[in-house]
Amino acid sequence: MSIIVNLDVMMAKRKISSQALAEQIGITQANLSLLKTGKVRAVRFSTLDAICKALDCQPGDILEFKDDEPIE
Amino acid sequence: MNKKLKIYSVLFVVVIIVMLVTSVFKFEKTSALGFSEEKLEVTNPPAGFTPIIDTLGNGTVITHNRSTFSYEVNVVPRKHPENKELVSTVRFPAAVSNQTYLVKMQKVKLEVPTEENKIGSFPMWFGSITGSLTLVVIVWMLCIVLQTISRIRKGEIFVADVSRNLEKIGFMLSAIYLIELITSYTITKYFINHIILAGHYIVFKNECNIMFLLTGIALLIISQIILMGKDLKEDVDLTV
Repeated sequence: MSIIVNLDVMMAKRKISSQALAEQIGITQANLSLLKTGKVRAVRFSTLDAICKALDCQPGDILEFKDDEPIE
Repeated sequence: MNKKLKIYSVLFVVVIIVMLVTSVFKFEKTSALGFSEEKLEVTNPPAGFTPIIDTLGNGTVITHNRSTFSYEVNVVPRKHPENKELVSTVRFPAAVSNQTYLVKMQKVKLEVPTEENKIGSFPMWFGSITGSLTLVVIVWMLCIVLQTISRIRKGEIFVADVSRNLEKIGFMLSAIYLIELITSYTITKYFINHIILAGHYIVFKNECNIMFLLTGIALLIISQIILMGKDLKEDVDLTV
């Protein structure tokens, strides 16, 4: 997958733990862990909205696109 | 649609069409005509008559005195002519003395001598090997079925293991059909070469149960559908 999730970077900047963030955005710690490691298949807008509110950031601060395939 | 699903679906349709349109899955083998020096032995009619009463369409009642006789059919195993023996008795009603009749045997039930010294040992050992192979496949398949049922009972339906197990069961059912087909064909061909009936052709018919093959292919299709379901479930489960 070419989408990189930089959630742990943002969490470190805002000095917030996984447990606290998970409680604030309303998902389990297990799901938050999956999100941080980029193993999820999709993110709902409602979840992204909750993360951005909790971390006071933009979606672009958390999600980054990196093209795996070289341009021919 | 994934590649395997396409292949299995096409195979299923092809088997059904072939089954309906042709007789590929049923085969008949006809033996060669019996040797001319062999004779069909016919016994003399027994003494005495049996009265038979016929009622014609216009209500007239006629009484006939007809004799009946039976003839005996001897089957000679080709490789062991010294072991000729009586295998069947057929009754031919309404025969009259000093008349020539054309005997048409529509259906004769033959008891094939299967002792090794008469027919050879091939059917025995070949049948034993293929029978044992089928038994092994059936037992293995039952183990996989029980394993699959136990997983489904735990609620794990759309998982890779269940899909793989269903695929294995599908292949095993198809294999059972193929073993049955090969065995029937081989044994039939062997009997044709070893059993002759003087002056007659023998038609050996064999029909293997095609439902094994169709059920096997259907399970292969279902296994791919379960795999697609697993992917959809993962999409849902891994959506936060």
